[in-house]
Amino acid sequence: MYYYVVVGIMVALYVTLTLSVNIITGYAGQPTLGHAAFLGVGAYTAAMLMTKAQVSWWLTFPAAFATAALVGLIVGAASLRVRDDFLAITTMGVGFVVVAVFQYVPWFGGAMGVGGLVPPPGVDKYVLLGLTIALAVLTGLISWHLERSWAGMALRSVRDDEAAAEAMGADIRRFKLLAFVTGCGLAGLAGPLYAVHLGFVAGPDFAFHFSMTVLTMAVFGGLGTIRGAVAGAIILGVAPELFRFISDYRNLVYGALLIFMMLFRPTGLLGVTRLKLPRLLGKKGGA
Amino acid sequence: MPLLQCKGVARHFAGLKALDGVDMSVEQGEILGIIGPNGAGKTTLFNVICGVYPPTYGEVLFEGRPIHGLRPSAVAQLGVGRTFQISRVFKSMTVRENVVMALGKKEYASVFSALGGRPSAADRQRADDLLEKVGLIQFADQGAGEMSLGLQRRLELARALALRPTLLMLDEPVAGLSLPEMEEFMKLVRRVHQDGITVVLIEHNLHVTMQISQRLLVLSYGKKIAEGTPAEVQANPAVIEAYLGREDEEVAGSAQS
Amino acid sequence: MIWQQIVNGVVTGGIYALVALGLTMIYGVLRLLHVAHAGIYALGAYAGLLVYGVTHQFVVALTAAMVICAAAGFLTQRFLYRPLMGTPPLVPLIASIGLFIFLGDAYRLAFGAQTLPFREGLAEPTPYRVGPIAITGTQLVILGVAALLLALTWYIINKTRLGLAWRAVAGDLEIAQAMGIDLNRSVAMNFALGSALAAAAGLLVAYHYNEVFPTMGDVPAYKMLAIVVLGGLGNPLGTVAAGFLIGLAETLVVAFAGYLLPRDAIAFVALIIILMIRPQGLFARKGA
Repeated sequence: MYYYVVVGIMVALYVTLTLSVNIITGYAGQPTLGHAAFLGVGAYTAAMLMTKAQVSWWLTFPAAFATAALVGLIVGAASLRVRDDFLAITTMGVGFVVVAVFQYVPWFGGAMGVGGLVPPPGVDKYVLLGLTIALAVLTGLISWHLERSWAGMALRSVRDDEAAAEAMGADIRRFKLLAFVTGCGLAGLAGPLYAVHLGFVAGPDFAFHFSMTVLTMAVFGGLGTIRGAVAGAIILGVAPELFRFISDYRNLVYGALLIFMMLFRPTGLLGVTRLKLPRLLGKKGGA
Repeated sequence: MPLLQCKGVARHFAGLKALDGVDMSVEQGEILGIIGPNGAGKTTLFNVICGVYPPTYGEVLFEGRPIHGLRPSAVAQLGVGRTFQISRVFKSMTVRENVVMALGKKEYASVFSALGGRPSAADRQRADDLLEKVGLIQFADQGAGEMSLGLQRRLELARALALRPTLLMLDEPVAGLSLPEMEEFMKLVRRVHQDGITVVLIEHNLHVTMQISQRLLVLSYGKKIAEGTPAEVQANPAVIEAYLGREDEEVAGSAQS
Repeated sequence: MIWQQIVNGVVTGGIYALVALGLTMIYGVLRLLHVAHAGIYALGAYAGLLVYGVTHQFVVALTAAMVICAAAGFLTQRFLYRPLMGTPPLVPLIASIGLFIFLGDAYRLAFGAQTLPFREGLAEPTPYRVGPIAITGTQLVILGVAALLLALTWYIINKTRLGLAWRAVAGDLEIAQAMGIDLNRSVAMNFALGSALAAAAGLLVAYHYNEVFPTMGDVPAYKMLAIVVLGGLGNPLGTVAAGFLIGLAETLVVAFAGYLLPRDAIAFVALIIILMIRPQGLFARKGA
C-alpha cells in the first residue's frame, strides 16, 4: 500500500511539472529545457528556510513560489532577447548554472545538499499524497482558466506569430513573462512537497536529465493541452513502476520515445492534428 | 487635423537609406494609396508607422499625438489596424478564433485584465458578424492555416476590423490573388471605407490601386516624388520616369546576362 | 605559473575547438543544433578504446574511431534529420536530444556503467620541460592531433570544392541547389567529417584523462553548444577561437579564482552574458 502512495506522490508531482511546462512551451511556444531547476529552486528555498530559519513548512510554500517565479522572471527576460534554438540553449544553460550553484556554493550544503527535511507532525505520506494531488489539481485549474482567458488567446497568438500578435494589440513581452513567471512559479510550488517527500534536497536531482524527463512526458502526452500534459505524466510516470524493463532502461526508452514521437507524431499522444503545424511543434488548437 | 502625419521620416539600415525624409499626411475618411517601384520604401514606411521599428529621424503623428517609437501593440491600441504582406494568420487557431483574438485588444493592455476575463458569446457573435461581412462565415470552424491565400487575406482583414480601427493599413492585400479574387477584395475594402474607416494601402498592382484610391502617394528610392489624385499622378512625368526608368534598367540588365 | 596554466588551457581549448567545430559545421549547413554530437563524441572514445585495446596502436585507434563515427554521423543524418527537414526547428532539436539520451544509456548497457581506463598501467613518463613549463607527452599528442585536424578541416572548407559547396549551402540553400550542388551528398559528407572530428575529440579526452564512461558526453554536450553559440553559429573560425577562449578561461579561472564558479558552469555563464549583450554571439556571421 505504502508503495502505491509513494508512486502516487511522484506521479502527482510529475503532473504539476508537465502542466507548468505546458504553460511555457505548450501555450506560449517558448522552449524551456531546464525546467527541473525551478523545482529545485522551490525545494531549496523550503529546505533553507526550514533548516536555517526554522520556518514552518507551510510557510515555505509562498516563499518557494516567489523565488521560483522570480528566477522564472529572469529567464523570461532572457526570452525577450533570444528565441527558438538560442532560447532552448539558454534555458538549458540556466538549468546547469542553477544546479551548479546549489552544488558548489557551500551555503547550500555543497554536493551533499541539505538533509533532515521532515514534514510537520501529522503530515504523513497519505496526507502528502493528498497535498500533491491537490497541487496538481490546482495547477490544472490555473491552466484551464489561463487557456480560456484573454491571456490564453494572447499566449497562443504569441506562439503562432509574434508580429501578428503585436499588431493585434498584445505586447508579446508582457505575455512571455507571464508564461515564465506562472510556469516556473508553479514548478517551484512543488518544491516543498518534493523536499519533504525525499527528506533531502541535492543539486544533481534537478539537473538536465530530470528536465528531459519532464519534457519527454509533456511531449509524449502532447504539448498545448491539459489532457496531454496529464496523460504524459501519468503514463510515463507509472510505466517504469509497472515495467521493470522501462525502469532499468529508462533513458533508452525515453530517448527512443522522443525520437519516435518527433518522426511520426510530433503533436503527441493527445494532440490531434486537426490543424496545420503551427510555429512550435504542431498542436491541437482549441480549449 | 490630419489623422496621420509623417514629418521628415527617415529610416536607415546599416548605410542604406530605405526612407530619406518623407512628408505625408492622411485625412480622416480618405483612401490613400502608396505606390512606387520595387525597393521604394513603401513597406518600410508602413512598418515605421505601425511601430515595427522607429524612424531614424522624423516624427509620426496619429490624431496629433506622436507615435513614433511606440511598440506595434501600443500603436494598435491607439486605433491603427494592419494586415501583412505575407499571410500571418494564427495557424493553430480556427478562423473564428483568429477574429476573436483581435476582439480582445483592450484586454491585452494589462496582464490583469487579460487574466481576468474571457471571450464571451457576444464576442463570438461579433466575430461571426465580421466573418459574414468578409464572406468567410462558412469557414468559421476551419483551421486558419488550411485556407487558400485569398481567404487568408480576407481573414486578416476581418481580424484587423475586429480591432475597431480608426485607420486601416493594408500591405499589398491583393498580391498573388487571381483577378476575380482581387475584385472581391477591393469591393470589401470599399465597403469598409464606407463604414467610415480611413484606409491606407500599399499595392503593386497599379490598376487596382488607381481604381480604389482617392489620393496617391508615390515613393521612389525612399523619397516622395509625387502626390495627388490618380489622374494627376498618372500624368506626372517624374512618376512615369521612376517606373519606366526601372523597366529600362531591368530590360538592360536581362539583355546583358 | 601562469604560462603553465596557459599551456593547459590551450590543450583543453584544442579539444573543445575540435568538437565544437564539427557541431558548427553541421549547423552551418543544416541549421540544426545537433545535440547528439556529444553522443558521437562519446562513441569515438568507446570505439577508440576497443580498437586500442586490440591493437595498442594510437594512430590506428584514432583512425578507426573517426571512421566509425563518420559512419554513425552519416546514418544519423540520413535517418533522423533528413526526414525532419522542413519541420519547425524545435522538432529536430528534441529528436536530437532524444538520440543523445538514448546513446548515453546504450553505452551504459553495452560497456557497463563503470569508468574504464584507456591505457592500463602505463605510468606517465616525466613531462618535458620548457623553461618554467612542464608539458606531458599526452598533451603534446593532443596538441599535435588537434592542430593537424583543424588545419585539415580548414583546408577542406576553404580550398576544396566540397567546402565550397558547404559554404554555398550555408549561404543560401535554394541558390546552391540551383547551381547544381548535390545537396544530399554535400550534407552527408559534412556530417561525416563533423562526426569524425567529434570522435577525435572524444578519443583525445579519453587518452588525456585516461577514462571512458557512459555519461562522458553530458558535460561536453552543453559546453559545446555554449562554445558554438559564442563563436557564432555556423562560423568555423569563430567557433575554433571560442573553443580556445573557453578552454583558457576555464583553466585560468579554476587556477586563480576557483572559489568563484565551478569549472563547468563557466562556459555557460559566459554564454548567457554574451547572449544578453549580443544575441547573435561573439563572432556571428551575417545572416546567422
